[in-house]
Parts: sequence; structure tokens; C-alpha cells
Amino acid sequence: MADRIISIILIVFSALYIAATLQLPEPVQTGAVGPRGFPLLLGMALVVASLALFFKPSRTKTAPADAANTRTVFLVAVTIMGYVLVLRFTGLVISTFLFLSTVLLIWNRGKPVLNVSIALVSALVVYGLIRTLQVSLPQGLLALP
Amino acid sequence: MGVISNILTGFGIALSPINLLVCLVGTALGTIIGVLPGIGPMAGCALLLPLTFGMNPTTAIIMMAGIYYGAMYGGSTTSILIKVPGEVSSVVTMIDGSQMAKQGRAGAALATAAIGSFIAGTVSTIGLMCLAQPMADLALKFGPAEYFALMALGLTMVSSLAGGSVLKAIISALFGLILATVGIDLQSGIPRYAFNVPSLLNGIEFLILAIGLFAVAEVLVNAGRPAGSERRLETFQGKWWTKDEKLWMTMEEWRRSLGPWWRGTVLGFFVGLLPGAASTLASFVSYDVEKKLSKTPERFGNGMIEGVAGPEAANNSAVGGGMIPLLTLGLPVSGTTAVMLGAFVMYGLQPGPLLFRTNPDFVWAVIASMYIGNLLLVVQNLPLVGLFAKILDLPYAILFPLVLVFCVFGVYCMSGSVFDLWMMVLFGVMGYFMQKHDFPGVPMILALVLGREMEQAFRQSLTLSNGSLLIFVTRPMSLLLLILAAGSVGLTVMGLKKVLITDGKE
Repeated sequence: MADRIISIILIVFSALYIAATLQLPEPVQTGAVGPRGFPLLLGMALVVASLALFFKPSRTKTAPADAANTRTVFLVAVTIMGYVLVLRFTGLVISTFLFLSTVLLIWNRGKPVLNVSIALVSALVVYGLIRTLQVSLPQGLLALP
Repeated sequence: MGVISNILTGFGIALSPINLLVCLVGTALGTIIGVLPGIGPMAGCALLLPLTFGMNPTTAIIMMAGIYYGAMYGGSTTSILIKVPGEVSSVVTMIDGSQMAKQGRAGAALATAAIGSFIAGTVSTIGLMCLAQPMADLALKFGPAEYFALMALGLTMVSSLAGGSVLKAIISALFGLILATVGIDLQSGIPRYAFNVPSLLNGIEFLILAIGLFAVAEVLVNAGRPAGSERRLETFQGKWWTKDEKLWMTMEEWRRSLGPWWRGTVLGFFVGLLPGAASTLASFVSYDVEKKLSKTPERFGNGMIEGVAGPEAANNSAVGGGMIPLLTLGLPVSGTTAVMLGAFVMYGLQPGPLLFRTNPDFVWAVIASMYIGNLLLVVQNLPLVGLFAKILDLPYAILFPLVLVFCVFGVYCMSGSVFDLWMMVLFGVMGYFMQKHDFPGVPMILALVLGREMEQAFRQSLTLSNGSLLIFVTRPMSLLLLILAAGSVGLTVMGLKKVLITDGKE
């Protein structure tokens, strides 16, 4: 069941966390508990909780995922990641335009003119906001805001 | 008359033009955010927080308080008009409120909600005003062990009252605490889990978690909803109100609302003080109380105005109540107050008893602005509510991508770091899976905000006791708090407490 998978992921995560904690240097005198103490406690607590989850997964059935909808979510998620990637190169304004055009294409099919106009207007609004709020944003590689 | 003179000073500051303007903008924006489905007060505060950069702390917090209140009002609006609760605490309002709308009494429902909320907000602010100083004085007696126990109590109560699985909530909280350990350890100067990434050296910014976990995740969740499933305005005959219906409440409705308003206010205030309980629980309890006190309980669910008046008052009153632990103890009791705590810290203000000593002007100005905010909201809402709700005419397919742009804009402006954006996306994806599998997000954000303090308190306590864990149980106050913490988990696990279904958005 899904909960069991999640609990296993959590246990693996806790193990990694504890391992990373053990690699921290323990300085000589920092009071009774050093930088490792609390994290170790947390890591162990999480393992215990995850084991509890493993042995008592939820009864409630999560609604069966609709394949088409999950695909949409996946596409939107990928588009968002694309947005962040492109941001570095073209700056916020252009990447906003590209992002909105793409995501509206996925989500709001069949209205290309509307979608592109929304994308355009929003990108311009973003530009306007950047100017008026005088936010200092790192420039994209193409030297655009 | 310390309190009176303090509050007058507060008003002096709060009524300055810039602060008034900010309050107005905050309440308006908050209402709009509250109207948006799924984006509750917490995500709203988180999203709008970047707008406050560059303002002085007092002004910024005034705006945030305005947003918080505004979001509560906005949520009620959508509950009544389109039967979709704008956020979780409006679920109860939806039950009778939307029925009233169907019967042609939408105007009355909205009015009773707005007026009830105003009364409740004002009265609870008065309560805040009176209790704040004494509580702050009490809290000064707390030592690190008490603080640790108090925070543990806060987290356990949030976990046990979150509805759904307590275990999952605890896991969420633990994960949040783990996230809080990322960064430079203050006591030893050693970087932890930072992997040489500059962004991580300062720790994980709570705002990124909040925006990612709630706003971005919400976008993803909605992407998965089939197109056209969003609700449309269900008002009768498709119009806001027919020309010959009275927009306002009849004398009878006024009379019937009075009792619930007062009861809801008192109830909500005390419930709001409890960590984890907050507005949602307050509104449920109020509905229950009104139903039990009514001479016609069977008619609840069919448009009883008491079922709107009471809960709406309660959920706003809980906001005022919830500000008390935040301001006096530095303990947030809900997701939204956690975001506000994070905001305070960002501005270099440490809420807690010392705040009253070191920055009294700030505290009283915030309290004064809560009154003003309430007033502004009533004034804005009664005529403008129709306009705000028009936003819902926008299909989700357009609304949510715009929300996402807003998220990216906000986070990028705040930190300028693409790494932070990636973290936001990561948290967004995580939040999506959390929602799908019933892991509540509020304990996580609370834990992230409290984590550092908790660890400090823990370490200081153990230093004081030379390494003995007994310090937590030998000091009476600390012992009491820990017993309460264990008790709240225990009772819920045993099913003795009424477990509410929230979706963890508050």
C-alpha cells in the first residue's frame, strides 16, 4: 500500500540523515548537547514513527488516480521546472511569457488566442511590477530583467 | 491605566497615512486571496509577504494582519455564494449559508457573516489587549525547559487536532524539525547538511516551504482536477440577488443573530488560544453549540441563520485569540500564525514577553491595526463582496497558472536565488504527494518555524541541568506542559476527542 512505500522512503531518508549527522564534527565544549544531539534524536524519532506507519498503514482508500489527470499534473510540474530552468537564461519576464503560454496550452486547451494574450499581458505586468517596485533581480544571461 | 495609554499610542501609529493605506491594501488583497479556492490565509500571507519587503516592520506586520483577516472574510464569501469554502474554516458556514443563498437570502447570510465577524474580531482584539500584558509578564518567568515543553505542546496539539491521522501529522512535524536543523548551528558554528550550498547555510527559509507546500502544491492538485469541475455561482436565477429581495437582514434575522454572535465570539476566543485548534475548530464547535441551543435543531442544514452567525463570529474571534500566544509567548498556534512568526523573525523582532518591553510601540500598533482592519473589512465587504467573488468566474485553468507565476515572482524577488526556486518546486511536488496521501502540512511548517528555538531551548535546558533529562519533569510548569502534550496525543489516539476533517490548510 502507498503508506508502506512512503514509510520505507522515510526510513531510508532518516538513515541518510542520521549518517550525515554522525559525520558532523563534535567540538569539545559546547554545553551538554552538541550539534549532533538534537538531530540524532529527531532521526531516531522519525524512524520509530515511520515503522509505526509501516505496521499501521491507513485504511482509507485514496481515490484511484485518473490517468489523464495525473498526466496533466505531471506535465504542469515539468513545465514549472522548465520555467525555473529557463529563468536563468532569459530572465523573469520572458520566461513568464513562455511558461504561461505552455501551461495554458496544457491546461486550457483550445483557446490559443486567449492563452497567448494572457501570457503576454502577465509578462508585461511582471515587467511593470519589477520596474515600479524597483526590485533588483539578477539578470538573465541574455541581460534581460 | 497602562493598557489604555498603550492602545492610544498604538492607534496613533496605526492611523498614520502609510499604515492605514497598507491596512487597506492588506485587507483587500487578503479578501481576494481568501476568495481563491484552496489558497487559505496561510498561503495568502506567505505569498504576499515578499510584497512587504522594504517596509518598516510595523507597517509590514500591519499589512499581514490585514491580509489574515481579509482572507477569513473572503473565505466566508465563497462559502455562501458558491458553496465552495474559500478555506477550511468556512466549511461550516457553507452548510447553512449556501442554503440561505438558495432561498434568496444570500445578502442576509453575507451580512450576518460580515457583521458577526466584525463584532468578533473587535471583541477578541479587546481581549487580546487586556490579556497581553499579564501573559507576557507570566511568560517572563519561563525558563528554557518551560519553553521547550511549551513548544512541544504546541506541536503535539497541532498534530493531534489536525484531523486525520495523528501519526502522519507527527511524521510531518518531525520532518519539519529536521528541515529546521539545516544550516549553521548557532552554538558551535558548524554548518549542518548544507553541502556547500550558500542558500542552505542560512537554513531553509520558512516562506519557501510555505509557498511550495501550500500554494504550488495547490496548483498541482488543481491541475489534476478535470476541467469544468469548478463550481459556478449557484445563486438563484444565476444573479447575485434578485431586485426585490432585501439585501439586508430583517429585524427577525438581526434578533436571531445576536445570541450566536456573542456566543461565537467568546467561544472562538478561547478556542483560538489553543495551539492547533484555531479557526476551524472554533467554527465547528460554535455550529454544534448553536444547534444544541436551538429550539429547532432539525432545521439546521436548511438555512438557519444561527448556523452562519455563530461560526463566522467564532472563526474570526479565534484569530484574535490566536494572536495572544504569538505575541506574548512567541508560540504560533496555527499555520497562519506560524507564517506571521516567521515574518516577525525576518524583521528582527522576536515575539515573546520581551517584545512588550523592547518594542511596545510595535506591539500596540499591531493590536490597534487589528481594530482598524476589522472596520475596514466590514466597510469594504458589504458593498464589494460581489466584485471580489467575480474572480471566481475565471476558470481554474487560468487562475492557477497565474498563482504560480505569483509564487515564482515572490520567491525570486525575495531571494534572487534560483536554488530557492528549485526548493520551492521540490516542496510543491512534495506537498502534492502529501495532500494525496493525507499528510498534513501545517505541522511541518509550524515545526520549521519553531525548530531552531526548540533546539536551543533543549540544549540550554540540558546545559543547565548538566546533561540530565530530568530537568523537564522536575520543574513543575514544564512537567505540566509535557503532560498536556502527551495527553492531547493520547486522547486523540484513543478517539475521545472529536477528530475533525480539515485539509490542513490553515
